[in-house]
Amino acid sequence: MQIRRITLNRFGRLHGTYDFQPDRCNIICEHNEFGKSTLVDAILFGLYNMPRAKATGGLRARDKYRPWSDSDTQQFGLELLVEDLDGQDYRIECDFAANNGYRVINLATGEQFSGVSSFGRHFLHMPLASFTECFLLRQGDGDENGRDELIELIQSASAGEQTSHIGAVQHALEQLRDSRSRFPEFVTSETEVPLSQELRARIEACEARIRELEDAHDKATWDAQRLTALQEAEQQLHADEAELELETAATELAEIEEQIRGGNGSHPDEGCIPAAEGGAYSKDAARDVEQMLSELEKARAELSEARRRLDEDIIDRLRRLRELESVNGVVSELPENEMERLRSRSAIYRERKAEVDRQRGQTDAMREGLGSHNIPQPDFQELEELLDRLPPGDNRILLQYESRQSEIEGQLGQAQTQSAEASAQVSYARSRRKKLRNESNLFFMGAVFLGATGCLFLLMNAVWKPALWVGLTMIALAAAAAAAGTRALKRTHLHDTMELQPALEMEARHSGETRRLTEQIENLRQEFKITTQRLHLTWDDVQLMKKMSKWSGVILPYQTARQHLTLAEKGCAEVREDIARFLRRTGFPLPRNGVTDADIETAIQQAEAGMSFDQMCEQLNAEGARLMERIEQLEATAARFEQKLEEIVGDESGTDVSQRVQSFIQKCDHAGVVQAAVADAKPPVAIEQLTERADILRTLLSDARGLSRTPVMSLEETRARLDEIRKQQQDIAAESQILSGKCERAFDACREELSGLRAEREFLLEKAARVGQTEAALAIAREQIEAAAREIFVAWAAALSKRVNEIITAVNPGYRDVEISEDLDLSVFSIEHNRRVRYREIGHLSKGARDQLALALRVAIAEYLSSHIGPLPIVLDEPFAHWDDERFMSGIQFLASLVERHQVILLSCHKWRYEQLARENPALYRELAFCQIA
Amino acid sequence: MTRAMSTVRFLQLSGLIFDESAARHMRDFSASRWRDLRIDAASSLREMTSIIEEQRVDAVLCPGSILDDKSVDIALATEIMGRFGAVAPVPVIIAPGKNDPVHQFSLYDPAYFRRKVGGAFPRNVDVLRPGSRRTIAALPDVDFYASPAPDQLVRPDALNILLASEPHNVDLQSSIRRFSYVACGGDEIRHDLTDADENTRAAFTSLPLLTPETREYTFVIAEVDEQTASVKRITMPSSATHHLETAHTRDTFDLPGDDADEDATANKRISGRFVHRMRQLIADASSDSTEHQAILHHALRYGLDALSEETR
Repeated sequence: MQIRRITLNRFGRLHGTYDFQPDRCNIICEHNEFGKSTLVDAILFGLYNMPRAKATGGLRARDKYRPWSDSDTQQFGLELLVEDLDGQDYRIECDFAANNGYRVINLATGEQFSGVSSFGRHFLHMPLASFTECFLLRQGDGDENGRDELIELIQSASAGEQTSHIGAVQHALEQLRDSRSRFPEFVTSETEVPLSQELRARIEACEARIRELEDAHDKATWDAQRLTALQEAEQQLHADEAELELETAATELAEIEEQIRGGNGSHPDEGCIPAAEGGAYSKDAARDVEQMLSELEKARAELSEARRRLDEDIIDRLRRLRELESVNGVVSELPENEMERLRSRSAIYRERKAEVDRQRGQTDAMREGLGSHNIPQPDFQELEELLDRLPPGDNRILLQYESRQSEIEGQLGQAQTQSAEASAQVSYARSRRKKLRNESNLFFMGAVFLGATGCLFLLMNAVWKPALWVGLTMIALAAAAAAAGTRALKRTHLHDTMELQPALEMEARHSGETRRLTEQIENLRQEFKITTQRLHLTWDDVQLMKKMSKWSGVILPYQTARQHLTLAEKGCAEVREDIARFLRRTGFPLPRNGVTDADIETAIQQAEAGMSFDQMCEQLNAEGARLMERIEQLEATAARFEQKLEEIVGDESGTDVSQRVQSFIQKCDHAGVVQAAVADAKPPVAIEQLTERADILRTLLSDARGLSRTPVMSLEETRARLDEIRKQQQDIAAESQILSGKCERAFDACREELSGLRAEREFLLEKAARVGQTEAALAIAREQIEAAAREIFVAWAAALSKRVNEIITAVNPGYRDVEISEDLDLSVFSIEHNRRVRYREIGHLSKGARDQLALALRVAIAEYLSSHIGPLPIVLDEPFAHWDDERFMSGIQFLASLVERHQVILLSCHKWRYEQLARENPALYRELAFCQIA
Repeated sequence: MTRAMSTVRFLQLSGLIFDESAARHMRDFSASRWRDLRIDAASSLREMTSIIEEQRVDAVLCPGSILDDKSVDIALATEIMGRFGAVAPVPVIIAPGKNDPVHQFSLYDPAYFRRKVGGAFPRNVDVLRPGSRRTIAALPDVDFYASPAPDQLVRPDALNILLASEPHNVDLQSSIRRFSYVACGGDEIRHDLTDADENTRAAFTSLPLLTPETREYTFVIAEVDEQTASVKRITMPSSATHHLETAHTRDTFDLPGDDADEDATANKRISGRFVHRMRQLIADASSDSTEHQAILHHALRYGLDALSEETR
């Protein structure tokens, strides 16, 4: 494709026409801010129409290039004449002031293409971004970080990126590594844990809480049923209580009737109180008596408790004294130094026991820690048994063999590679030395030959006059050859010192390292072999060792900890046996064999107690005395209350004071009834009162339909039964209250939390499924991008290598043999330094050299990308900014030759360079076409 | 059409199980399907009032599984009881099942309900404890029993209705001989029972998922007198989105990548090669599961996003 002409109609600050030559390098050389970049954009907008979208952080293109004067807004556009890939001419008319002002007209037929809004998309089948990449080669700006921007240039182009400063593929892969950013609701979690794992943990926590609440619900349901049963039992007790109250009434009625019958027979019952005696049995008296009885019973209870404690203390003291008596006998006979020895041994024993406990804890913790390494348990147990059978030193050799071997083999491989490289360097240095040596030999031989011949000619001087001059010339040439030989010899020596010697030393060092590692690996194998043979290990054992070798880093420390534990236990057992021997010798009752830690601990405690036997006796006596004193106080209190009560209720031997008090209270009640009758001004006749009471009871029983019932229990029995029932009621009420509270809390918790928790679990499960799918999709995308990148890189490497070599030799003869590996790593052979500059070193080349390589790459990339649609014009924006004069000349020459393939448009602001070119190389200057706006 | 005085018409419903999301996991339902069922259950309950009016129902029978006591919260229980209360004066007889046991801390307990909700328990709702009998003022000639059935009927001459919330624990053959009608809930019984005269004497209502032939909730209208009983089923409206649950992933299949065809340089670019490879994978997976195909389409979109400049 060729651009013939562009006519700008108040496009930004540009207004006029540019004509471009198809077969010459078109140069637009203008000062800064003239509008060179505007011209490039105008060409692009002509081919692709003006984009409507706003550039990131900038103006819309329409606003950016709108005419600067407001009066010109009606005229804003351009016209482009192009020749397409098939040689057809088109005119592209763009009126940016109007809507839909884009037209493409075939100049041969005058036909306008309807519906074409972009020449590039329609005729070139390329989006603007792809076309720009082939069309426009901007000045590189990636020199500030000194990195290998050339590789990035290829990578970015292969990924379709122009502006990225980091590897596009790496960036894409990095983006695909993280699934969290695709779920905004989880982005805030500040954790490195993968999202799926975090969700699993949250679901598990949620389910655990749900299970906990459900269990609590089940238990509460059971408790609620139990509560119902308790309430039914309580109702039953209420019924029983009512029944017993009736029974009490019936019994009392029977007794009253008996009394009445007794009264008629002139045998007043003792329960029948004459009204006159009522004054002694008042309600206040009953209350006082009841209170005193309560105090008495309290004092008796405390007394009983104190006696019980004293009894227990006495028994305990006697038991301990009896136990210690024998020990005391033993201990008291021991000399002081033996006692001290026992103390110190006991202290050592306890220290060692504490150490054993510590070691055991540590070992257990390590054992638990092994679980997190996914070590197969059956194999591990088998290995543990095997390692226990083997000497500790051999364990390490056997278990680390596989990993050590891999490690050394890795080092060996590296050393062999380095050794091979060093050998190659030596070979190269030797061949070069040989060449230099041959060169010097040749010069010396020539010198000898010329000298000898010269001498012969001198001798012939007598017979042939010109022989003198010939001889002298040959001798002079011989001298020159000798000097050249000497210089070559010096270069040989210099080469020996600077290159051959270091190369030999390096070769020797790497060979030595290789030998050392080979020996090391051989020794390792030998050691392993000898050890396995010595220990008679089976094939399975060896395979097990190899299999578990990758966990040797955690198994061996655990094994060491176990060994330490065994040693600590052994040390502890030794001290224990020592103490046991000592105690047996001194007469302590210890078992002859199998003394346990508990035995020893008991014996030590006994011995310590024996040592403080007297002190203990004093303590026990003091406690006994204190208890005895308290008992005496309580006895006195009880006696005082008893005496007072007897004064009131009478001293009747054979009857318990509480029974007498109860009888007294009853009499007080009866007295109250009698006194009430007296208050009614009726004759205080006991029989009448009894009759009245009987009537009340009959009415009560009649209401309850229990009038005909016959009492089966005495009044006391009935009351005792009533007390029992009321106590049961109290117990049930207490249990009911506890159960009710528990149920209430459990059900409340369920109703508040379970619904929300289940909803949360649903939400998390749904999210986890989506996260799982997303992570799977991301993994597939990563894998496919990597595979695509590999394929693309291989294709690009092959395509670019040849063309870049052609271009670089044209623009910079100091470099050749550019190699682009399948990983897009770039290297180039520097003729000046006579060595290959590796891709990491390219960043250290001069900016000019890197720009020349970049130009070669950009042209090669543009050609590669557009090869299937034919040559496209290439616009170069200030490519020679950092080039020296010589390279500038080469560059211009290259661009002049590039017009055979592409139309070239060069933008520059360095006019003096072209003036210099006109002076120094007028022929080349004439091949250029300088364009100016008309 | 007028009915004989001794005929009683019941609306029977059960298996709503508010709000037992745990059942989804026990029965391996998908989340969307279960969510639709919850919606259907709620809408069915809302329809209850109009059905009662249209069908001139005398009482509502609920043989179990109205609530899931483990997960229903106070607000939902209040709403459900409110729905039952709204049909007053039509009585609602509930015989709770295994999911909603009756005790003094259950939401069926009027005192507990009042304490927790702050409002009165609906007057027209009667909750029968297992094995109990109830006669209600509105229907003095009808005795309601909750399973297990008693050995002796208190009033053999009355209309005796058994609410069997767990019918697998009831001898149904014997029961349909003694009771005028047996309303079955639960999950196990899925067919109606008839007597020797081919009168339907027992009908089931349960969780619709358990009936393979229908996915909708059904209510039963049972017309019962001393000699006969007839049953008809009313299918409740369904949101039916669960029928399409496997299709929803297809909506996302129109994914980017087609614009790669427009760029003639695409086959020399990583993005173009990536699209080509992904399309190949997607074509190869055409017979795979929908889920796997969706993953591949997502992989295509994610990859293109990551490779494009716009995402930077």
